[in-house]
Amino acid sequence: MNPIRHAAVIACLAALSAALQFLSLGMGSELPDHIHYDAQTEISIRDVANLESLPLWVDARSRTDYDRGHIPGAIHIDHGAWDVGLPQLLASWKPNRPIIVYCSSEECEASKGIAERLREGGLEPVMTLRGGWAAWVEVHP
Amino acid sequence: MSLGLYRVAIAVLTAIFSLSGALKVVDPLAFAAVIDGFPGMGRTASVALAYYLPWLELISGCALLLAPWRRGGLLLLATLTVLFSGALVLNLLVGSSSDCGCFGAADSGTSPLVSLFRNIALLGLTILLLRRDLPR
Repeated sequence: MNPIRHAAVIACLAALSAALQFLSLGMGSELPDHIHYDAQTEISIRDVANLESLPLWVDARSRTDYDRGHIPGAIHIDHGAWDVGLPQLLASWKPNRPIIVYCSSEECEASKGIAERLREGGLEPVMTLRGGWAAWVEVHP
Repeated sequence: MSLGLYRVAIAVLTAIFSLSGALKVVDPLAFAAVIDGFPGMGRTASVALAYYLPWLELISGCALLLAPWRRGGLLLLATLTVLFSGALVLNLLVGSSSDCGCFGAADSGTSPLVSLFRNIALLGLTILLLRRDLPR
């Protein structure tokens, strides 16, 4: 068998595995129960999976904490580096794509401030992650 | 390339791609969010790719350990690396700082530029091994 045929077999095997995983995780049954986030300002990590669109993450912690680790794809924005972070956010954001801002934990206030500033700038929907980075790490150790 | 060096290179590629695939397989929605950040990607395509690509990477990586399947696996991994690198270049061009999420959540501190250089190095090694394995 030539390498192209082997590659095709591997590709089919991967498609089968992905389909089985998709079905076993019950994604198909969860999709209709979308979270309606129109009037929502805070979201739990559990409800993120049910959003109508995939979220754009904004990390409102310090640059040092962000560099140590962040939610995959998250953009770093804090009040001190607003002019750097905002253009990066706008480059990745699409209309109606939910933005979820998080900071360290339940107690921190930075995410609420950043979320408010983004809303004032006309972006929506913007939410904060309940429990912040600590809640994410709990689910994704 | 000596046989010893060849075996080490195969082991390294197997470890890197299998690990990378496995880390994303366990959390497809986190990877979907990363893909969705790339220009022109919609939710359905992002979710579909987030489920499919990690498995392709994982199985192709494991296929390197089986001599008859090695060339097919190398061919797919080279193609995947080119696609990932192209997406990273596109992201850098539009000014997005989103990382590639190549190693799932474990990769969250890596800049797109570092990811791009890493991909180019992996592509070079994959092509080198592919050329060695092709019949002359």
